[in-house]
Amino acid sequence: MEEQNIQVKKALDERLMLGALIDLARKKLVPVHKHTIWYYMGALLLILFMIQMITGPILLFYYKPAAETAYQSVAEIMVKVPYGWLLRSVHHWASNLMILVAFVHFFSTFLVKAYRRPREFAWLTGMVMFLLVLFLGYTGYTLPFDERAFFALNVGTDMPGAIPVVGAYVLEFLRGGAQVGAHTLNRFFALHVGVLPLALLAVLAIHIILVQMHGMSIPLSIEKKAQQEKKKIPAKPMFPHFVWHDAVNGLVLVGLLFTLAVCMPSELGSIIDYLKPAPVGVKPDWFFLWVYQILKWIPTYVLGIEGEIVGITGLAMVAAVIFCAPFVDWKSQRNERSPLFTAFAVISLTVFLVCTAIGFFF
Amino acid sequence: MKIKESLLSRRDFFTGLIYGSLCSIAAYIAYPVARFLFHEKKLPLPKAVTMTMADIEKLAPNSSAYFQYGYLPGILVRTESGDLKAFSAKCTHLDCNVNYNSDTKTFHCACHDGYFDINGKNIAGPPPTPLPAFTVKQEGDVMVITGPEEGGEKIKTA
Repeated sequence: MEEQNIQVKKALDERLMLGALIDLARKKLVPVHKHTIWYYMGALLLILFMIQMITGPILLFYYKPAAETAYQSVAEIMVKVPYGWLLRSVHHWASNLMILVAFVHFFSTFLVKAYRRPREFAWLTGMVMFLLVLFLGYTGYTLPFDERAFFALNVGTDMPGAIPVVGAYVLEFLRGGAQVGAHTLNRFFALHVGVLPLALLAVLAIHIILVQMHGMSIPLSIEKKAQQEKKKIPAKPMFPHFVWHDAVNGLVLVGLLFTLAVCMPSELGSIIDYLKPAPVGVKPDWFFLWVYQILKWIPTYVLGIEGEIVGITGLAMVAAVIFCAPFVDWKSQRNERSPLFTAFAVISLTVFLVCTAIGFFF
Repeated sequence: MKIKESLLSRRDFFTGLIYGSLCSIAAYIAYPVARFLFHEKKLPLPKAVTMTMADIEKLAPNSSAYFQYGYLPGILVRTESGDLKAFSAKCTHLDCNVNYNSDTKTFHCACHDGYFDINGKNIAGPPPTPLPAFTVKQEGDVMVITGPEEGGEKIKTA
């Protein structure tokens, strides 16, 4: 038996070169320092993405993507289909956790300036994925086509309408017409289950390859300290040490995910009535609360320009600066301390946290 | 190789030809895809909609009812003095439907806390412009709602 096993292993190894992969993982060293914890976020995101890629298609077995049937089919998934409630809730919570971990991954890499040379493209692909994940979350919560989805669709598709010149086209493209309706649902469905996941998969492949090629980024402060003390930064092999940590983290995450799904199953609001006012206290999902709060605060007119346009243009400009951080943060690129960008990152994080909290509690 | 009389070399010519062909192939693909994605025709708004007087009479003073004006939701209000006023029910900020509050006699949008007075004027919160107003006129036993009013706010269309 033992000999047979060895033979099978040998045969597989010859064809799939598993040994080479494990060797590679063993040779790959991950630096160990006080910021090592942030290295775990990528693997968590990967695990959550895989959960979404499994639960999503399963939900499609029963979800009927049309304006007349969507709401009813989600209701059926929740009450009639055995364990439908569990699968939908897992999909719902996994998306929430994915966005949460994506925020942590984003802010941590931003604060330690992991975008420094030669990791510019890892940063750009990461930012594209971040936007895709947010858009996936947004398109996902409109699919039940309930009341909340209707107002989220109205507000969310109206906002890009404020972009100068192309706004009207973007709005029409997203809505599939002048108003939110049956066509909008079809478009959001196509985006959520087709376009966005495939795009995410493609960019993810590039991101992972780049991260493997360059290795983990070490924060400048730690590099400098090691240089001063003429010490080498300690490192551990990826396999088995970090794979083991990732596995344990993943297990805890899955435990948390199922606990949330069982204790707080995802909800379904009331059915859409195009002639009903927006319910009092209607709010977007937590990950857009900060945008909601900023839009609520902005005065009707700022320097004679409509508040909506000012708000959206402002947010887009901040996003653009963050997106291009590796190309505008010259100091970091020269491996110097860059207090301006540290402040920018800290302010962004504070605004995000404070606005989210205010949006949530008030 | 470039002969004296020629504007460009043979290599440049063929390189241009290849890039040109690639661009035209891309255009051949992009055009139908773009047309496909933007297929939806803009629906024209109707010139007027009607409501029966029986329906109108059901509306108590200081209360409101929604009506469909083409693809737009509209809101009809009977004021305390008995006048009828009609507006587009879409908030001018980000397109949510507004609600008539009979206590404060204002229209409220719950999405971002926008307020309009009984004449549709934006009075508080983020809405940048008033609610577009419709004209309400009785013709026999029906009430004809036409809009938007001459010189009033234009209805936002995509």
